[in-house]
Amino acid sequence: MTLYEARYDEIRKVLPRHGVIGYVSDPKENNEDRLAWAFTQYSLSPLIVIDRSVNPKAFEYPIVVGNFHRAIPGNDRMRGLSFVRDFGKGVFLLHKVSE
Amino acid sequence: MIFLVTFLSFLLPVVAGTLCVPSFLPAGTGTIADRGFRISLGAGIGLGAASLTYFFLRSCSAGLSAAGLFPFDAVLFSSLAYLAVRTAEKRSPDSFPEESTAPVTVPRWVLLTLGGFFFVLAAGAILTGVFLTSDRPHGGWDAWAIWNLRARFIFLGGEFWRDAFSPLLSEIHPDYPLLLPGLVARGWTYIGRDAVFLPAVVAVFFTVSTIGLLASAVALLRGPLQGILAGIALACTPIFLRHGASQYADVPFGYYMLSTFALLHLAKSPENRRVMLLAGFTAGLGCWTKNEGVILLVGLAAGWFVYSLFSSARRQEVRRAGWFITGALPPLVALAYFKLALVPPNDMVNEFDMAAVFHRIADPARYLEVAAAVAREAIFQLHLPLLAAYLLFLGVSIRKGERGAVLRLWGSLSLIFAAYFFVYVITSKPLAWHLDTSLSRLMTQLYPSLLLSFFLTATAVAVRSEDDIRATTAADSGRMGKRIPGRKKSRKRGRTVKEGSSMSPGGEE
Repeated sequence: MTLYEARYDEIRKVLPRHGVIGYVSDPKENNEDRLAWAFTQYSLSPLIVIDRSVNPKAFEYPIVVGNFHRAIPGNDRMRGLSFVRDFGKGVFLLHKVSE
Repeated sequence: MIFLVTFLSFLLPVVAGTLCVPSFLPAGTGTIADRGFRISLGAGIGLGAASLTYFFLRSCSAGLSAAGLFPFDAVLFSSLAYLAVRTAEKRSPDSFPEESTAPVTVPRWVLLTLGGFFFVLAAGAILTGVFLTSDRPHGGWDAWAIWNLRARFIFLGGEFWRDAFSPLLSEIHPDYPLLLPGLVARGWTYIGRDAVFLPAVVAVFFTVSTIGLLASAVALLRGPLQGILAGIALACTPIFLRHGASQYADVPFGYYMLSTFALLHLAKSPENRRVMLLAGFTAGLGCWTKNEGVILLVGLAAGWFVYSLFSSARRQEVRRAGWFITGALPPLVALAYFKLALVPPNDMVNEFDMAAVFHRIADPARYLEVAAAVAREAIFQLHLPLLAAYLLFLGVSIRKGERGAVLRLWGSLSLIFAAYFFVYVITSKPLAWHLDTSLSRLMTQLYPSLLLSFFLTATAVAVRSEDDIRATTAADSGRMGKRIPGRKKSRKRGRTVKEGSSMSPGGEE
């Protein structure tokens, strides 16, 4: 957990202090997807982090955090997103592209 | 410095609670058990009250800092403590349970040895908590993903602290009550940052308090040896220690459940209105800790209703229930505001599909699966066969004046267990997963209260003093055929017991 919190140290500085942001990650095995999201939610609280692969409401929010451990996922997960900044360690700031 | 502030933030409610509790209880006996009971009960009640007041202040004020919180806490808890001490001084001593006697006795050195062992185990429980916390400082999954996460929202969220209850966070159960997150957020407010160690301190505190409360309550009601055995039984249960250190809300909830049952047992006599008030307050704090608190209230209400049907003093029982409800009101009002104004409905309620529920109720395989899981838990985690062996060896012996109260305790506990069982039968979640992730925690909630009921039911073992031993030897060897004054031979087992010391709080029912 401590390592995960450190992973988000830099991006936390540019994120709003409260509100709702989207979340996208590369597919992981077993329950790791949920674990990675839960770690992210804990690390970035009091922001509400909504996983785009679970909750369709996440597509409404313009700011999205990318949490990629292996590779940047394909279009199925990245639909309507553009990269804003790479914070290293697989952490990206993304933005919803206006359609 | 940070540890000193943490210590002081807990000290205020703990001391106030410990000073307040005696004014609600019968006058003390001054024994170690009596003091232990007051401290372990008062500490939990104080912390519960601190969580409530923090929630109240958080609801009223957007920016809450230590500078704003401390004066409020200081005035409130000091006033309560002062009033409680003044009230306690004015009260005449009530009857309070004294040490019991029993047909089975052991020499005093056994008590001293087991007492020493118990204190070593209690220290071991603290060390276990420290070791498990150093291994997982953020606690188990539910601790950081639910309880501590919500504490972070409340502490770090400022005026947006209510985001913790957003329907968008349905995965982390925003409807879960706030005793634990409130306490943790309160501690963080005092020290000014979200230190990882604070939830761990709260967790160890409740674990040790539960052991202390059980041991002292049983010692008060059934004698010191029973109390020590009950404390040892709990402190020797690894699953209890593990869940305690995991920073989940189950051990705190079990603590408030145990407090409620112990106080209800103390409050048998009609004049013990204050004990009923306190029992109501602890039950309310249970509801403020976990949603299962509602099941606790329903179990108590059902037990009370059945008891009242057969009781000759029905009007008196209604009055006692009134005092209980009055005591429960402060936490229940906070809970009602929380549930009605702040949070979305519970996920299990949302997923409720009547047709599917009937289908699951009619499926015998689900009952078998739940029963098998419960049996595994009871045998391998809670070591219930050991308790069964104890019962077989010593037998059942409920005191005459306590039968109704003990049966009611068992009845309420059984109803709560039945409700838990039934929740698994009808759950919409995959049953094996649901059992695997939560059954052990639910059993841990019940276990301290189960031990209390068990030791109130099993035949008590009394401690023989040197005088007793000498008197027995003289009586046996002399074959005088006449009784030593103040003593009689127990016909049942032929062992020596004191006369006229049958204990019952408030006498026969």
